[in-house]
This record gives sequence, structure tokens and C-alpha cells, in this order.
Amino acid sequence: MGVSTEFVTQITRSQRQLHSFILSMVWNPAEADDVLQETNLVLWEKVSEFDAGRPFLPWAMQFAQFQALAWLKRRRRQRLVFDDDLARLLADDAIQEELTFEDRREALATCLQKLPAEQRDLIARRYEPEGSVNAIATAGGTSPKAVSDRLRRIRHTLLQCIQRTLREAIA
Amino acid sequence: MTTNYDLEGLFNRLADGLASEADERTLTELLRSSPEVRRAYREFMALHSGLHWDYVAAAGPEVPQPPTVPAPPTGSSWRAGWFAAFGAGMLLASAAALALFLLRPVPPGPPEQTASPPKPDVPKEGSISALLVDGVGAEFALGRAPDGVRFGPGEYELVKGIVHLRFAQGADMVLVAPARIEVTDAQRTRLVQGQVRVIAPPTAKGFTVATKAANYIDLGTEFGLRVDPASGASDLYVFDGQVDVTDSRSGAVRSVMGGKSSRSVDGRPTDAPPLKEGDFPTPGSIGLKRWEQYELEIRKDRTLLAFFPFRRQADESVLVNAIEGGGMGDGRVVGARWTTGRWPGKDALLFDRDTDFAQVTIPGEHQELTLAAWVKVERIDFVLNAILNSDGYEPGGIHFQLNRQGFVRGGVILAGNFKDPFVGKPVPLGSWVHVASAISARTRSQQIYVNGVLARERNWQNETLVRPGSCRIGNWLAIPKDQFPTRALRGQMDELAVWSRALPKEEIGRLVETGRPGLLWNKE
Repeated sequence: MGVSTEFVTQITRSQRQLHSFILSMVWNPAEADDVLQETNLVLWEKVSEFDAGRPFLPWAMQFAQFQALAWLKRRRRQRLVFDDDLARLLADDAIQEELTFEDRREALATCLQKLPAEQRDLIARRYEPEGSVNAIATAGGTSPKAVSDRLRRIRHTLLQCIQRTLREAIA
Repeated sequence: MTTNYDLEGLFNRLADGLASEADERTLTELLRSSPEVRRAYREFMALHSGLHWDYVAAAGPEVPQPPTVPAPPTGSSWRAGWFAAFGAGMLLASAAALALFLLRPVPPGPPEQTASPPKPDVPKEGSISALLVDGVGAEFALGRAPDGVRFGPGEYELVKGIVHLRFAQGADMVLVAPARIEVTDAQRTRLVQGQVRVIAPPTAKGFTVATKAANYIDLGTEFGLRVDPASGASDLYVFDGQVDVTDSRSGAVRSVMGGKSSRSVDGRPTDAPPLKEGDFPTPGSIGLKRWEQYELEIRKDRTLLAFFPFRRQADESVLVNAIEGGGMGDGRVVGARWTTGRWPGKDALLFDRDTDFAQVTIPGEHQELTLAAWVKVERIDFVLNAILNSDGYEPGGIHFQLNRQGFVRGGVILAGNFKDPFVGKPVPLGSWVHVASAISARTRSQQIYVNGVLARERNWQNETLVRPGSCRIGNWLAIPKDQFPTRALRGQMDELAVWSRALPKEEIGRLVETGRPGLLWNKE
């Protein structure tokens, strides 16, 4: 196949960061999965251009950026929000944070453990396959906004917990 | 002007699909103007993404210690996350979709559990060792099934069918039921029972299959291995390259080279029984089996006028139409030669001379019509290159062809003007591609799809019925003095279907997914 182990390692390692970046443009996680999938296909097509001596993420991020923009364009979505410049700005920022990304991810795992069962349950229902705010609202006889408000509080707790965990790690 | 709390409210509305246009405008202004907002936004989206990926692995009460490499999400759909595991499998995106579609874990979970969040099995070490990339008729035993398309370390039991796994370092394994394996990691698997074919590229050198009798270390090769649970004997057939067989007790190593076989029983090597036809299916044979199932299924569609499976007959000039009573007869092959299609064992017609074609007749008048074919265009030699054209140029006839740039064009021949308001991508050369043309005289429009993606749209004004009549596949019976009389296709076709209705995009997309040639096939 002629594909270097290094490439396999790098593309594997960068999946979450690419997903996170793509999600910041498309907003829906399942749709971000699709764009990531398209990006991966492109990366594999471009494998011969991959230079193992240079950082992988900036190289891969260019394609993620392009794929995400193309995806939004095809679906006529978020056109007012994202253009080339803003996409590049977000990508550049994300590349700068490559090192802390892993720390945040590990902190999230710890913080999730600390959530009360009921809150973990809501997160699970929101992020389960086919899970959505609307589905939860319908099932619970409440409004999407009410569900979103509850999720917002949980996400707020998690974000604060992640910050705290990172500060403690440094201290 | 904006507090953190407001920002989070905005971000949450975006994440949950509740954002308004005003929200979007605010977001763009804030993101462009403030690095701090961008940082907060990135952190929020990293959380949103992380929850999507992790919630089960990280929050599941079964796991006291969060895994160091949490598993990707159990999937918001079949697409979610499977591809995220590792490189080699990623080429195979839709194949995995298909594989999952074909995969029916038995028996299904109790319905009363659906109200609460699912608690899928958490891989033992939170890592992914292999992905399911293809399968046919596959059923796994309950509790010994992959998580979607993901195989982490653990035990798996294939009860029915055949599956193709790709391990993280590139080794391919085709597993035939009944079979049991224990996946240790991306480079090591134990075969408890059943038979496998292993194909290991250089990146997977050292890929090891352990059995009760011996360990088999792949040194860049292709081999078949069968374990008989009753006797504990394992039979190795090396198709190519070299496999090192290690006695699990003494540690003694023997090399078995391409073309050779070996049986191990309790560490003692003896001769393996002769290899039988059909032992150790290849990844390609899975595709053919899948297609055979698809053929049986699609032939039930009562709106099909014809389905040409391109199956070579004793009389090679007959192009069999597998639909009886659809109003269309068999076709006639003139010049075009029989070759191999999308998979080994699948026949196709090769059109590579100016005089090659196959003739079919689509009788009658139709309000709607869809043509769909799998073709592999090798080269484009002419201004126009026919996939399927009605003879001559009569109103109501259909032309379905490629121009020199590879764009699919054509439609129903009309008296008046028409517009092509949308033109998309051309047909790629040298790879199998699904082309479909859905014509509707009712809506006076036609859509052409390439691999399920809209590639051209045409609208017209005049009332016209579709009357294809006598047609040539891969060529055109020209009218006298036509500017472009030679429209010979240079390539292959291995399936053609004709419906008496205009198929919607979703249905054409499903045809593409079901018929995709294989795992290394790329829609683009």
C-alpha cells in the first residue's frame, strides 16, 4: 500500500481535533462526522503529498477547512457566518492550541464523572445516536428551549470544571 | 458588551439547532472581532465535539477509570465515528455504511430499553483495533458483536455470513461464519474457531494470528487459516509471501512460503488437507455476494421495465433482461466483448471499438423513465460518447451520453428549448461509476446523477412524452450527415436498469451504496 505508519498514526491522532474544528463550522455533530469523513478521504488521496518532516495538523486542517466550507455551501447553510477568512482564523487558532487540546479532553473525561447521574443521563440522551433537543423535548413533554436551557447549565458546569482541572494541573 | 453567560447562551443555541438568523449575525461579528470570543467558542465546540465522541466511554458507570484513549462515539448514525478510528479504514467510508446496513446483530435489544440512553459495551481498553468495512449476510452472537463497525479488544462470534475487517495498521481479514475471534490489538488476534483470509500490507508486517496449536506471524503476505474446534488443529495455506509459524509450547519457528500449506496439531506440523474451491473468500467476493443479494431484491420492483445484470450466456450475443413482464426483451450484443466487472466473477461488456454496442428496445410511451448504469469509462475519444442513445434523433427519444470533458448530458429529445440550470461534476475516468438519468414529462425536468450526486438538471417547456424505442448501449445509430456521427463509448458496463418512473435522489443514492464496487472505491 505504501502508506507510512507515520501517516496512519498522525491521521488517527488528529481525528478529534479535526472534528472539533469542523464542528465549530457546521454545529451539528453528526454532520461534522460526515465532513470529517470527507476530509479523511481527501487526506488519503493526498497521502503522497504528505511530508512526514512537517507538522501534520496544519496540513490536514487546510483540507478540513475547505471541506467544511464546501459542505456549508452545498447545503446553503451558515453562508452569512463563515467565509474563507474566518475559517482560516478559526483553523489557525485551533492549530495554536494543539498541545492543550489533549489536556482539555482528559479533563472533560474527569469532569463528566463528577456530574450527578441525572445530568449525565441528559447529556447521554442529547448525544446518543439520533439524540436531539427536539426529541428529548417531545419525549418529556417539554419545550426544546427548556431542554436546551438544562443542557446549557450542564455544559457551563463542565466548562468551568475543565478550566479548574487545567488550573489545578498547572499548580 | 457581551458577558460570558450571553456567549454561552448563543453557543448553546447553535449547538442545539435553535439559533436564529440574528444569532448567526451576532456570532460572525463577535468571532471576527474578538480573539477572546473565538477562544471561548473553540472551547465550547471542543466540549460539544468531545461529548459527542466520549460520553459513553467517559461517563459510563461501568468504567471506574476513564480510559486514556476514549472510544469514539457509539454513533449518532452509522456514519458517526467509525471512520474516526484510524487511517486505512477511512477510505472505506460508505463501505462501512453498507456493512453496517448488512449487519444484523441477533437478537435485537429489548424494546423497553429504548426509552433510556443506550449503554453499549465499552471496549475493554477504550481503543479501536479494527473496523468492519464490508460484509454480506453477517450476524454476530449477542454480546459478541462489534460496536457498530468498531472492533475493540474483545471476543467476537460471527454466526452467519462473511465480514471483512481492516485492522488499524492496515491488515485485512476476511472472516467466514461460523467463527470466533479474540481481538487483542491492531496487530494481534486469536482465532478460536473458523476460517480467515489475511492480507497484510507492509505497514502491518508482523500481524499475528494466534491459535491453540500455533502462532502465525505474517511477514507481508496473504494467507488462509482454519481452526477446527473439535481437533484443535489449524491449517495454514500461504497464498503469497511468508508466514512464520511459532509453536506455542516450544517456541520453535518454521517458515511457510507462498504456495505451501501446513497443519499444526499440538505443535506438531503435518500436511494440511488440499485446499477446496471457495475456501477463504477474498474481499472482492464479498462485493459479488452482496450484489447477488441486491439483484434478487431489486428484481421485485414492479416498476422496473428491465434489469440487465450483464451475465454472460453460452450465446454471448444475448444480453439477458432479468425482468419478465416489464415490457422489455433481452438485448443483443454486437461487437462488445465480455470481460470482468466490478468484482471477480461479475461479468461486464467492454466497448472499445467504434462498431461495438449492445442493442435494446424500450417500447411504448412513458411519462417518466429512469436509466441507471454502472460504467467504467477508460477514455473519451469523441465530442459525444454514448452510454445509451435512442437510434437516430426522433422527438421523445433519449440520449444519455458524455461530452469530451466527461460531463454527462442528454435527455429526452424535444421540439422546443430547454435549460440546463445546473451542471455538476464530470464522470471520473478509469473507475467504476454509477450514472443515472431520471426523466419526468410531468414535471418537464430531468436529473442526471453521478454516483448519487446531482450532476445535471434540465428543464423544458414543451409537452413531450418519452419514447426511447430502439437504443444502443455504448454507441449511437447516427442520422445521415450528423455533425458527430461516431459516439462510441470506450469502457465497460456491468449493470443497467430501466424504470417506468423518475427515481428520487435518495433512492439513487441507495443504489450507489448497495452497488459500490468495494472498499477502496471513492465516490469523488
